[in-house]
Amino acid sequence: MTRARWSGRAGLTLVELLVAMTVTGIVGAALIQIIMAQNRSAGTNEAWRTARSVSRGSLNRLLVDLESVNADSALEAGATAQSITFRAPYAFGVACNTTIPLTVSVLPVDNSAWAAARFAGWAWRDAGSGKYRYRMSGGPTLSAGNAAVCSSVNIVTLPASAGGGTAGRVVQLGAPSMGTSGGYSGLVPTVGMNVMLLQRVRYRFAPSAALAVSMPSAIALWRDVIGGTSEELAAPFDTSARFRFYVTGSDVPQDAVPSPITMTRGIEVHLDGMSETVPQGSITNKRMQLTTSIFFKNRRD
Amino acid sequence: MIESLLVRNRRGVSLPLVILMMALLALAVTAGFSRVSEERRIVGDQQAQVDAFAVAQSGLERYAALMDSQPVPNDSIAIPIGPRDTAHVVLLEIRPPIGGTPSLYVVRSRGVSHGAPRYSVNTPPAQRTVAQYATWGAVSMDVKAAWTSIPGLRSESGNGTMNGDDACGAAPSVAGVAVPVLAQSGLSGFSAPPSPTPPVRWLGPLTADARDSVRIDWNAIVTGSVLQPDYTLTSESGWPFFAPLQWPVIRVDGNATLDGGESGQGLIVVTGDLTITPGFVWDGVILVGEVLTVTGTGPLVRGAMVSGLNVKLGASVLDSRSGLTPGIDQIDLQYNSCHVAAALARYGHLTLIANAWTDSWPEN
Repeated sequence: MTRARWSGRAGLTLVELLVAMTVTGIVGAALIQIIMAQNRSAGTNEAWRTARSVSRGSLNRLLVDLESVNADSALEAGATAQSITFRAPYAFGVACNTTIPLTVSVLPVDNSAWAAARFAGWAWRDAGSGKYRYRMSGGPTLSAGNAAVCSSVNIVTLPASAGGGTAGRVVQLGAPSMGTSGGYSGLVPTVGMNVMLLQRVRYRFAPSAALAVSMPSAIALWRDVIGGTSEELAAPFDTSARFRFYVTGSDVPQDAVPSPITMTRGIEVHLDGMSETVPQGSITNKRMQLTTSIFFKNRRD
Repeated sequence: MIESLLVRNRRGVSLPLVILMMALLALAVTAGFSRVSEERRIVGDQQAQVDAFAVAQSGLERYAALMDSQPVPNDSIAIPIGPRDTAHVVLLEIRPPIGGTPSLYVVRSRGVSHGAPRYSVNTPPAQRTVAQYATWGAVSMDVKAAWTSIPGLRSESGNGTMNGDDACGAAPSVAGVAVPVLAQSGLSGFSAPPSPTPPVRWLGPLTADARDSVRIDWNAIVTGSVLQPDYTLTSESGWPFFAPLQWPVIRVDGNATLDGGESGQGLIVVTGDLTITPGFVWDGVILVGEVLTVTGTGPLVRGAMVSGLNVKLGASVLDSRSGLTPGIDQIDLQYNSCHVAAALARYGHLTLIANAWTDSWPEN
């Protein structure tokens, strides 16, 4: 009886053991390959996704800032392939009087956008030529205006919509050192003329602060509100990220900064993003080339 | 029996291995799908944003293009853009017309895009708002004088005034009278007194020269292609009553004689002869195909008159006449650019002001 019980406990033969180990080894190796490939694939995908996010992340902000600039005098001197500074309108209105300080009825503007803006001056549109006259110097000031000045000339300041929201507002624009004419020799503002409130904004590709430790060579796209905050919109960008310029009469962008700068009619932006890390199995960071053109919509012609 | 026990006790690792592999593969596939889905959402959102902007801008421009009569303040319309997208356009009046200055509006267009692929039912449609200042650009009239007569003008009474200085003060002065040097009758193009102020403007040596210099498309008016009337009559009979603030267009296919009972404002188009008599007062524009005769004491027109326009259709038209009884008849004619503009105000177009576009309008 005892022999019978022992004989029922059959062990593994050496051959069986070798076969099992071989099969296990093959399957294990395959599994490891799959896991490693999956890991590499995930890393690569993550790198691509990061690169794409870098490229796309700043695009909307650029569009909003650049589209509404006035083509005649959008860019300021000193533009380069890595940096542009421009006068960005953040509010539009109409004049309610003809002397400085100028009372202006402004269209509704998003409250946060209004609060974030840093007033740097204004421009009024000469009805005859359609050209904007800028008042960026002379200590331009912005303060609350008297709504009665506008109502006395039948200019309506828009109320908030029925469902709530933001109303228009009345502001007063001053230029203390320029007298009542605003320094525009021979030009007299008229009631009802269009006025834009401006801030100066700079976009530049410059070393990243956010990645200064982990990726010292990283380039970021910065948005500087002159007199306000500097904001790192996205990073890292490839060294090929840059600005190019469209000029009047040409539909081909150029690298050279237009001369005069007032000929600029749009910007081609190369937002060439890259991944922060080198994915496994690769020797370089992943790069995502995104090129888009932004044309200035406020133009006379 | 023993053999069967032996077989049952031989337990391998195949099942755990298969389960492990399937789990790993499932995880990999799930992660892959998740990333792809995320990427598609990002792309879809960006596409929707671009679409919404295009819809908003299209709505703005289509509204301006389709507006064929002066809009009322707070006019609003939903314009379908393509099969699934809509632009909600609102026109807000910033300033009513004052003097010669046209109305100032702002047109706001909110584009709502449903067209771009979205991958979650909870994702709202993309919206984008743009706005642009606009004015109502009325049809302008080529006013050469307070009274322009293509065949010439016989002033026989010697009384009254023919004044081309703009009573509204919004436009430069024009001549009191504009005529050819040689009238259709063979006489001088204009016989004073009264002496017009500013003086006569000569439209060329002959009637044909005057015809060519007057830039009014009379053929289009007569055929009804432009200046569609509010009232169409065959004579002064049935002259309409209208509210003081209305500036109607009244067309007479034939001849008419108007007196104080037909006074008012607006645009009068007479294809035949027109005679205006004492008591008749009109603010606006009078266009006459044949002879315009002013008779009696006191007719007053504040705007602009053009007569003999059928010359532009090839007809031979006699000189118009101011006063029939020397020393008694009197015409008082005063150019007024605001009345001219008001009479033509409905025939205009909405002009988006270049350089006055914004996309910073809040979404709520």
